[in-house]
Amino acid sequence: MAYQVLALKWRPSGFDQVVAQDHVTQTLKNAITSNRIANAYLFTGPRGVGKTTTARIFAKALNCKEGPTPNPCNHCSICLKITSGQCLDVLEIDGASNRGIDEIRNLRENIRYVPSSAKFKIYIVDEVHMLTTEAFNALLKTLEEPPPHVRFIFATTEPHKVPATILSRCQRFDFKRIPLERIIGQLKLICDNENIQADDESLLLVAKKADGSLRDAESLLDQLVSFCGPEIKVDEVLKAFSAVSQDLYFQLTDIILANDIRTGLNFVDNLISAGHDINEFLMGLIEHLRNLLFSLATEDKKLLETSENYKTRYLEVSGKFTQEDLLRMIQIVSDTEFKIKKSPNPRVKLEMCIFTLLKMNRSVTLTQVIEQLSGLKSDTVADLKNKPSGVPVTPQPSQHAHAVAREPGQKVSGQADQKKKPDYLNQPYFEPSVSEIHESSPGVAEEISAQPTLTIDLFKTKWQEIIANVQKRRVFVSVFLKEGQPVQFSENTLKIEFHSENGFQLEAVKKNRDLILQAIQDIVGSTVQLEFIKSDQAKKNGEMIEEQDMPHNRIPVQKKIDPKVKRLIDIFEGEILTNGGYHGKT
Amino acid sequence: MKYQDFIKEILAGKFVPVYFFYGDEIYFIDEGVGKIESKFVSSSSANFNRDVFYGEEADAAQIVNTAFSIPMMATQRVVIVKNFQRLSQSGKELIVKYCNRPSPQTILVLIAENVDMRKKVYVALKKTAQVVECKSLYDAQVPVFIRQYVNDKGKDIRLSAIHLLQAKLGNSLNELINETDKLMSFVSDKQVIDVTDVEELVGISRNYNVFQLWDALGARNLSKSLLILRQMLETGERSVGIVTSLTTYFLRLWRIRSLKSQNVSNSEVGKKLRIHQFFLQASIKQAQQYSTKEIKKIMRLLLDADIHLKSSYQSQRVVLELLLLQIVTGKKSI
Repeated sequence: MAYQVLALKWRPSGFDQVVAQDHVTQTLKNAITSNRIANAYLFTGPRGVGKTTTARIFAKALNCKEGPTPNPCNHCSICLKITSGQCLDVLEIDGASNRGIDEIRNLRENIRYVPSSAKFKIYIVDEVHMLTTEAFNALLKTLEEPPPHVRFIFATTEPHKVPATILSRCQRFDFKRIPLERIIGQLKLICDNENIQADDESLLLVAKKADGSLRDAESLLDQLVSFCGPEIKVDEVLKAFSAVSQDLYFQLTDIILANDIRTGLNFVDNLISAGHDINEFLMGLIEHLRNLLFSLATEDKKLLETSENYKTRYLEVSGKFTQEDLLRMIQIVSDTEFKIKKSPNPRVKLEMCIFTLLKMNRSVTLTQVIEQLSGLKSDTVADLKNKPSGVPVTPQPSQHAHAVAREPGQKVSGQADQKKKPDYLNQPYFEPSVSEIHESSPGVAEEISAQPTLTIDLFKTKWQEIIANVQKRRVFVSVFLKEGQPVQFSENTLKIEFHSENGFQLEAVKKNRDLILQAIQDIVGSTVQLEFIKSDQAKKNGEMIEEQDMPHNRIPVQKKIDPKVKRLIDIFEGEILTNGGYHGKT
Repeated sequence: MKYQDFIKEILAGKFVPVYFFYGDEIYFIDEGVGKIESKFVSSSSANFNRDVFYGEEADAAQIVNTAFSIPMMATQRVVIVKNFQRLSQSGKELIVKYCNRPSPQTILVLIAENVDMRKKVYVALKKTAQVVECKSLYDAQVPVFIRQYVNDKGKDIRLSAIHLLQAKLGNSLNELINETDKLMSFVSDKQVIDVTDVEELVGISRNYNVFQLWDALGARNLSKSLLILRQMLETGERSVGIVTSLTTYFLRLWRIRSLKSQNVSNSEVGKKLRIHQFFLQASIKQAQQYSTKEIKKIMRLLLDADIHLKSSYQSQRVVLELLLLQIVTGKKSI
């Protein structure tokens, strides 16, 4: 016999073989025995859980020569015909391609004729939500007055797209996603029968990847058999799925616990040279941290989707963390996961992420902080208030990742003891931010010490260089940045002014704050804070206040002109005729 | 005339030449029209003596013509016009004219959804036709109806089970009947349907799990709420929807707290907040689990989670799980 894919070969042929939908199959069977068969059924649920299969079995059960029976014989002529899709009285219609009013009208025409050989004429409409509104209305009329010899079975993944009028005339069955254990059970059954040797862990991986769909799981198993042959081992599965083994994650948490930066960086190196996908790794890491968090919070093994020996390991390891730490670590990793998608250099981002995880201080509870706060002297409190508002009081490493350069020129000496916890009474309430981490790594610190004093003039003279540097990083940002001018530098904050008409550019530039900061750091060798202002805002802020009092039409032309218009005038040698609008003249 | 009165009359053998059914309970309309059909049209002559028109596509003149034609081998002919409200204005007027002098051998059944009975056409119809109002049942009437329905089929159902069904599905009879039919098949030989049956069969579909989640959160049981959450996501529940339902829940707890602090009685709370009695006691108990201050914090958490889900870069499951963790433990994070 020709080769048949597993998903087809193992397609259930009776209600009892349908996996994990007992609430549906049991009810359908009872309905047949007690002869309470509705006119129309609606099967809903995610893909690959058995909707169409159940519909076919139901059709067989109704039409089987020995039937209607809850257990179709599967060898009478009608059962065989239904299985092979040749039965004239069981019509399978794909709603996605027969969605128009004409097809439904056609259906209504044919529906009047009694079945040719079977007891019922059964219409199975797959993907019924794809029908057009007109088609639904036409169908509704049939559903309102169904001929006694007709039964409808609709299947859909998106019941909310089916009109309420149709829904209320169908008996609806919700198919569940198939639980992990049941998928594994079914896979085991298949393996035993097909002479495939597979260990539990590989089956777990397959089942997880299938995400609740048995058909997907069976197809994956098929692929694996082609890839590894009849003996499936977990290493090969990991390779085939390019997945990261759970052991690696445990290794990483061990490294984090040991606070061992060198091993941490080696870890990243190994990971990348082994060819793992960084995104997949981060997703797995979140899953891993989440498992730790929930083993800690609930001590309940049921919440963990992993094999037995790992479950015990999770419970063991989780005790070494606190809930707050794990929450923050998840936040750090998911931030990285987000950023890495847009990053030109994902590896660096990953390293920074691991670094932050390692350098992250174990958390202090809020109550402790409050106690310490109340012990502070009043002048220290005043100092704290002067800090930029973006910096939170509680240690929050993830936000520091955003605010890399926002701290006022803080220089942490390179020799700072990495393991020393910050002394909250004397030091500002920060954990080492990512920028500090950079500085504290040897080699970088020296460069920074040779820093020029910063003035607004320095920025003005270097402005073009900064733009050029930005251009190298991302061209469009530099284009927008050109619209702005550095206007003021005080308290380590550089103000860049945009004309009020350039709001769009301003927004775009704001979004790339980090990038510009990096450019500035490259050129002037120091981290500053950035503030973007619109020019009308600038007026309100001081320097140009006297102009506001002037009558509108007497404002000196030179000062009022939009820079763009000025350039136009320069190019075309034009002049301004009226003040209401600009009319250039060549 | 109410539907129930109509049934009494038709059972007593009284009938009129024109009926006008309207209202939002399709079940009653279907049943009522079914009664008329079964009374006047035998199944063998249905092809000749029963005609169905749809307002949106029918020609009123044709309807009137059919109504005037003589029944074949029977005493009465039945003409049904569905979606009467969608017939053209002139068409409606023509039908009204017919109603003034209807054919005595025809029963014309007009069916419309909820319509404004003050409109001219309907005012005229009121005078000449028997208007049957098919309104949805009130909360208190539904259990009686369902029990009667189940008893007619030779089984029984517990009141608590009906309440749960009602809380889940609302008062739409078609849906209730559908689920009840399903339940009767599900329990098979068992005589009485109880709450566990409803939970097992109906609970698998959506809303019920939300209630379970509420209960678990109300008891501050983290592992249970996480398990329910996982189950919900597995059945394909949308995560934004879960956050919305949690918001509803905590708003309700908040309102209960504020009413209770003004010494409002339990039943009064239920009425004011329109909480179904099935959930009332439990809700009031759960409201004691969270202080007003906590609820405020939780609102913030819910908002954050909502934003996270919609700007979606974290896995939705992780966002929700962390949300539950923070709600139950009251721990601040990130």
